[in-house]
Amino acid sequence: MKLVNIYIEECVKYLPRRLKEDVRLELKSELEEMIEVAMNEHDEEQAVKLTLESMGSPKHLADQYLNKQGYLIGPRYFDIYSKILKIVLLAMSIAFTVTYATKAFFTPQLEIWIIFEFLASLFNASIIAFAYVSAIFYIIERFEVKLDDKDLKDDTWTIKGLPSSVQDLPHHPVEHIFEIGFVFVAFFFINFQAHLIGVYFQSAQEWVITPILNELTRSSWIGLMNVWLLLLLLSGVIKAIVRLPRKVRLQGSIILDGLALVMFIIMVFTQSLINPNLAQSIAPGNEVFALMISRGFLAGGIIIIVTSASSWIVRIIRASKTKLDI
Amino acid sequence: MKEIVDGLLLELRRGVLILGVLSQLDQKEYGYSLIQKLQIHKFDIEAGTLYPLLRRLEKQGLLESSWELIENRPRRYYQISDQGKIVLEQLKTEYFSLNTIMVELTKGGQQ
Repeated sequence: MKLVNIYIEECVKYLPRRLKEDVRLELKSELEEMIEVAMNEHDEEQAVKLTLESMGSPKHLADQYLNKQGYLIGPRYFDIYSKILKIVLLAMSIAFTVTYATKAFFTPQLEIWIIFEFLASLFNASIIAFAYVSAIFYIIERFEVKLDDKDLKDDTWTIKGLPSSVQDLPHHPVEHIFEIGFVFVAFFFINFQAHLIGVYFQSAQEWVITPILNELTRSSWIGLMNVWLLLLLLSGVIKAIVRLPRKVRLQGSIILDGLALVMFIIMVFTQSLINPNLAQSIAPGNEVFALMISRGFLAGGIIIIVTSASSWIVRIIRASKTKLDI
Repeated sequence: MKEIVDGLLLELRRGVLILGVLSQLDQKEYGYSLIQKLQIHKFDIEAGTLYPLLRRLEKQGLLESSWELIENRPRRYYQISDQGKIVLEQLKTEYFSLNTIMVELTKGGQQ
């Protein structure tokens, strides 16, 4: 019976103190009887082996006593966990962006490290926030803390909560909030720190930046660029306001995106947007490589225009199929 | 295919496990005697599943337990509680109703 005692001890070691003695006694009594019955057909060694194997692994048995599930956060709490995690991460991203944008705005000689510091800090903070929120919910799950059921289930939902059509379903305000944030960041850098939008390379232990935009012709294109950004901003705002009627959101964003696309094409083809020295700065003395880079930028611009135009046309077709006047 | 069927059968049996166990505890039983009692009715349950289940049902107030010394061996006996009887009746009503519906649904295959 030595094996039986080992099995029982292997099981109860996972149990809390209050359960240990009780389970130990019960298992011992039950197993001994099961083995006695098995010994009617097998020798003792075989009977012990078969009985213990029929019980499953000691760890698995202990998990059954603890009613342990194979997950950290179960279905009961997962929805609210996911909701809180999203709120925390979004709030943190906004706070970090605002802090660093303010810091950058008031720094007279902006250096490249601030962008890397921002990204690294945001990444670290996100991981820490994820770990804390997950740990708190693991404790709630583990100790079966009773949360108010109203927090867990959306009982107030009625059929009115459904969107007016299927096409509204993929739209999520968060993605449009990021779109708006991106426009603000672009506005800030283009207007105040345009020299930082460039190609970075290290030379003699110092970062050298070759700006992508043409500073010499800045006065001719900055107005168009700001109008373009404003159109993108308005389009993002309209799409993000979910309370607006769907028709207004759809038509408004299509018109604004269309105007933005036209503005972008005008800018690219009528203005000298790109720094003429860019290719030479990146690949000095290598004319073939420099030519490839210039063509690469041109190809990139064309790809952006074609993609935006295609997406815009697809949206018009989808809107017309839903019987909406454009 | 066999894996899928095994998994589905396990889920099906898991659903009626508590009903089966509660129904056999109008008289006090210890773990192994309950396994044998269920086996007579061709209801197989693994010991490693039953013992923890009895504890959980006791914790929920559906069973009562007591230690007794029989033939120099301490045994923990379980019996259905008053609350357990009420729950059992509700489970039985629901089960029979479901059973009638399922028989009707599955009768005649595709109909």
